[in-house]
Amino acid sequence: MALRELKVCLLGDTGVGKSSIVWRFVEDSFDPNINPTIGASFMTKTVQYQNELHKFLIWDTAGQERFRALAPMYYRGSAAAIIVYDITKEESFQTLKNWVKELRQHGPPNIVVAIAGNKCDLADAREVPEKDAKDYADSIHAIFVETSAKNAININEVFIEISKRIPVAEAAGGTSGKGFKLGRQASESRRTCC
Amino acid sequence: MSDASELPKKEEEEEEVTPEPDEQSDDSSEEEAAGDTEMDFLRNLFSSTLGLGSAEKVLDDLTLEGIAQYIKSGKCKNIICMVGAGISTSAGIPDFRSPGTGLYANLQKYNLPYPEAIFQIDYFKKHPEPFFALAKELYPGQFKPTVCHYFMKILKEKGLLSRCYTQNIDTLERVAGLEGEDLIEAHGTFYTSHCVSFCCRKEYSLDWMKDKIFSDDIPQCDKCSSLVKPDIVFFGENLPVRFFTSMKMDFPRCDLLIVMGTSLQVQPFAGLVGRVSKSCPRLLINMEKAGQADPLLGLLGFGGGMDFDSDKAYRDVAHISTCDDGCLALADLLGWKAELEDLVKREHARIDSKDKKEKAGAESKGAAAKGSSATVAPEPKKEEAVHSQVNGTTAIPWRSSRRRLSLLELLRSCQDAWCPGTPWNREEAHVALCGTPTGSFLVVRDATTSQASVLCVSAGGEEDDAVIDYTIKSVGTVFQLSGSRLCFADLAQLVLFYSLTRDVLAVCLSIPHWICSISEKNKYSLSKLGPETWLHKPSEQETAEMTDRAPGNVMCSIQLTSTNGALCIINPLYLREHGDDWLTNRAPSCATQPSLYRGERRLSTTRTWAGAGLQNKRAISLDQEPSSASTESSGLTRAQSADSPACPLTPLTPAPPGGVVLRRLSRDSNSSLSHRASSGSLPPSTPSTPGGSNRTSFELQPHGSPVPQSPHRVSWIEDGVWLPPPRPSSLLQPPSTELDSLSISSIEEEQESQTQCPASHHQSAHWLADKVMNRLSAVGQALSGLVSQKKRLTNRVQELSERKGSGFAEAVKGFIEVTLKRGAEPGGVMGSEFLQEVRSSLTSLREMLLDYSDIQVLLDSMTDINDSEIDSLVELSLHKVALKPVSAHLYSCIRSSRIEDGSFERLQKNLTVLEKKEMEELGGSAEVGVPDSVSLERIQQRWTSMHEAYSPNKKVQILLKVCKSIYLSMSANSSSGSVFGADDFLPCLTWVLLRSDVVTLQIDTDYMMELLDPTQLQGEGGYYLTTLYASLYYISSFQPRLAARQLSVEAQNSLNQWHRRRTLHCNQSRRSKNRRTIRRRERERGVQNSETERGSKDESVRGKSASVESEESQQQMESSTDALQPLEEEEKNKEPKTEEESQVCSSASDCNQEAMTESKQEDGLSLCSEEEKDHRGVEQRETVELI
Repeated sequence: MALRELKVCLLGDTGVGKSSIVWRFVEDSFDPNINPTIGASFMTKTVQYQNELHKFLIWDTAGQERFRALAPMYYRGSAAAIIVYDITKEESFQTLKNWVKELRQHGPPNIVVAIAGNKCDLADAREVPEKDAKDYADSIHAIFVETSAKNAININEVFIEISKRIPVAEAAGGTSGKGFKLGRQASESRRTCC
Repeated sequence: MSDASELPKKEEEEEEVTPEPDEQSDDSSEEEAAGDTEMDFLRNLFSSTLGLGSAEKVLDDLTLEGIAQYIKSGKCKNIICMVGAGISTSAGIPDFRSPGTGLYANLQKYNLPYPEAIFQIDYFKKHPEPFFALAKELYPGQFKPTVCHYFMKILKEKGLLSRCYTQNIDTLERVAGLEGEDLIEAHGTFYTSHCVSFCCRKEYSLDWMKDKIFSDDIPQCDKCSSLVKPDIVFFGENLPVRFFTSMKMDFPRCDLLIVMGTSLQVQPFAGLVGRVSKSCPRLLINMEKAGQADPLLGLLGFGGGMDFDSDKAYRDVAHISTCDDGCLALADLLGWKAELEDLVKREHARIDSKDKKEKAGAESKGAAAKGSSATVAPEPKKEEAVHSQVNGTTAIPWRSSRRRLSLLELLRSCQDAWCPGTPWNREEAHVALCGTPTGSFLVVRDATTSQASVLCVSAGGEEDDAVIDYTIKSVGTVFQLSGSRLCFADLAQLVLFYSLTRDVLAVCLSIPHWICSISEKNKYSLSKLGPETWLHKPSEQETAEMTDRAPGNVMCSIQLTSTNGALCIINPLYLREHGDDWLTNRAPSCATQPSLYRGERRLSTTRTWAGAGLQNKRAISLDQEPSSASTESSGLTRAQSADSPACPLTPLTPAPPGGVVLRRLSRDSNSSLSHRASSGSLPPSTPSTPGGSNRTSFELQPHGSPVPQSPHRVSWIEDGVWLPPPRPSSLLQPPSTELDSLSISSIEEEQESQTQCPASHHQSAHWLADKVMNRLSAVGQALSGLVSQKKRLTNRVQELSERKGSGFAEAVKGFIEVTLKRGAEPGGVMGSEFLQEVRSSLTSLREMLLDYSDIQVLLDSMTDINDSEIDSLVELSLHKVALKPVSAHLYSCIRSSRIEDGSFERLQKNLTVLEKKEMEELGGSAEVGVPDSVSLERIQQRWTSMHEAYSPNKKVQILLKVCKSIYLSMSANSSSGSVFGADDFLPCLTWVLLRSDVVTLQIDTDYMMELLDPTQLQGEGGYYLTTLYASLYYISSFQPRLAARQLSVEAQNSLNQWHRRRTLHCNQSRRSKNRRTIRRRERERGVQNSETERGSKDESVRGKSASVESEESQQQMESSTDALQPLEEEEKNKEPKTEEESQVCSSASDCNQEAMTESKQEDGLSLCSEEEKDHRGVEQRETVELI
């Protein structure tokens, strides 16, 4: 079975539960293919999708405003980005929109974007209506799910959706094919700035 | 015991604290070590052959008395005990690891892919149920240490015990009072358990685990709901770090080494005896001499083995006895005997009373086995108490609620029936047994001593020789069949055991079915039964009844028989040793017994364990188990008589496939030639035996050794020479790492112990005797882990780079020269671009290296590692020859370029601003801990060693270690359950960086980012490297008020460059992998044709690999054109493509000199074309290289 390595980058305000989502995703099942990683900010998990194995290399980012500028180093070369917001914090949803914008401008082309409204177990304190978020996600053709890392709701679904959306055409070249493209793009930008 | 819970923490700490000389990461340290070992080697050689040893003779007398005198002299202050399963087995713990016990057969119901899987860590994480079900089944009823354990306790009390190294997992040492510090549990322990989640690692106690196991829960972590696993060492796990760290400390200081109950044949344990000083006396207490060096090996310098008898013996003492007896004798000589006996009595009484309390009055009675006088000579009363403890399910507190009679209890109740008193003698027993179904048996007592002495078993025939006798020996308190190594606390256990597995018997014992129908009410009538009733065939009705009741009513015996002591968990090592042939070697033709009968028999002996919850799941595989049992039987003639009673004298028809019997041969020297792996094929002459007379006792049975050994070992530790299955031996590939979790090579991966792994002093010896070693398979096995493949590869690459006139040597030389010249010249290429070129050259060098046929052979021989690991191995060896000479120069280039662009200045300026900020001001959350001064100090040391390392791969490894210790500090004082992601890690790393030498770190970061093996860039190393880069960038671009919203132009620029290179090389390495795959396929072509789809594609490629390669490159090009400048790019790439084709063509034909020169030229080109500052030019050149 072909193994594809998919770099997935996690974006979102601090405290929305980015790492909890990954933690839940990675730790929930006892996957022999997990290579134990040293910490929760980088984790891997291999799942089977159709006749391929998708190895998710999940890169967590620091969500604080002050580290905003560092994000490009992380999302470069990602096959997918999961942007997380907290359904009980309107502000985090606004931050999400900024992330989407930035990804569209500077992120890898064809990056699969998934929007995860985390903490859906706290429906009482909800500030972001599901419909608003859903509409927004549709408008940018992004995957949308409300998740709860705490109760393990929809966590796997996010990644399954990502697997589905990863272009099959690239199967031959895997991520490196994608990387190649980006490489070209990168060199081009270099040319312009020198 | 109280501090035992701290044990794992200590381990952690020790792991951290241990000085890690290897982290200096320069191979020079390794080389020095190698030099040392060569010296060692020579010294050994001389001292052993010429008798030049300078070792001082400490013992006056090479006897136990001499040892005692030495201890009493006061010169002996540090005693190390090394103990194996023997110290627990002597207490009467039978072994259930033997094939065919049904225990193995029990594994079948778990649908294991292969038996070892149950102890495979990966499998366990996925399917923990089988392991825990097994654990439950085998849980010991009682923890009662032996005299030997208490002897060690006394040593401890007297302050003499430096450490006890145990291979047992039964926790008896702890029960006896040894504590965490005193104890190295080399194979782990059940005493503690940990959450398997690497982030959590919460510890759990034995009681907790016990509760879980017996409530049929899969133990889950309270904190993170991950699995919890007892701390026994699984396959795929390393030995505890403490084993290696304390070993290094303990053994050199040791004044006396006491080895007990282990045959010293399993590495790395066995190697330990050689680690004490030359003058340190060594005492072996065992049932047989062990650990003696093979004379030939001794000559070769793999000495360190024990020498008891030769005229050069000066310090090794062997005391051949049970461990308990030996300890008692020694204690006697030391004048501690009373003390020891008192301690044993007291402690046993304490354990008993505790158990009794827990038993809550559940009474149990049974005929206590009449063992000979106990070694400790307890009063009769006491003995009885012990036995009532042992007696059946009731002995086990947590089972006491279920009041059912176990088969064992039943057997005990009617012991008089199958083990009748004096009027019965052997002859009578034979008459009674004649004509009874196969496996019917009686135990006959000796007329004079009334000790049980002979086991008579019906072989099913009607004739005179239809009954076989086996002598029962009683050694100390235990019973064993002559020829077997298995000991049992009483006869009932023995009988029950042999009803489940044949071991040395020709057939399994058969226990009448009716016995199971006896309930508690009428069980007292059992005692009145006589042998006639015992052998009487049950009526049809009874049988039917029985069948109805089975298997639910039939009690498990396994755990009962182990009540006397330790955990009878199958140890992975045992399984590894014995392989799974007991499962797979099932011979279809072996259905020698009428199947109906067999079915019945199995029913009667089927073990269920009392665990109600699991009973339902117990879909016993009636067919499989019996057939495996009969397969076993078939190996011996006796089994044949079952269906060929007429010709019992006929020598075995060349064993029907099975022949499983000899799976494990005796360790005796005369049989050691044939080894386990050849089990399937008995030499036809061997089984010529028993026919002779049915009265032959087992002594005359097949194996041809005077004292026949059980085919099964008492324990994994006791197993004989670690013989590898025969494999195609090649000089390039000594039998490789079957030792797996134990192998030195896997340990070597652990940085901590790399240079000082237990037997590393052999490491460099491989050049000496490559050939000899390969012939000595036993040694070869041990050495395989030692002569690490990495080392071989490195050496080979080194050779190549030094060989005059070789293309590679020229290329390396050229690379070094050009690199050293460049970078320094003013106006030349600076910083990252320069490094990128270095990286490109490295990649070309690697390609070149891979084209050498001897490198290929070497790599192809490493079948057990995957392509990416091979890549990094090659990469590492390349670093040594190419990067090491230039690393200093590269550092200075980076430095000057960084100074020039002012980033150092910024870094230092901001450092002073940020320095005072605490975690929260840096953006971290409040609960995140920061490293304390100690760990900060350690981190600083690591940074230093990171700087000293020249290989980027090695640097990244060190970086990962730093990150790991940062994580540890972060979660040190946090509440449970919190997960620290990048939100917290980045601030914490920044905090650490602010207290480090950022300038040097910046240089290292640049160095790593540009030179790191591209295959590592997306993984963990890449992530943390990015984080380090990001954090440094954050510091250098910090603006007090306004957080920088955008990357600075420079940063973006450098990122772009980095990224470009990285993606370029990603492709490249992928291509190189393809090439290698093709090569490998080519090799394999003749051998196997079952190719995957992909394989067949490659096959078609073989002839015209070039075209496919170019196709592939076309694909790449196409994808590249997807990007931004379609046409232009396409055109530009056309030319390189053809070049690539030619290169691939040549490289596909193995080791083409032309190719080498070509790539050499290309290499030169890559270094020279530098002058053009035109970016397009540079880019194009890189494309050339890429392709």
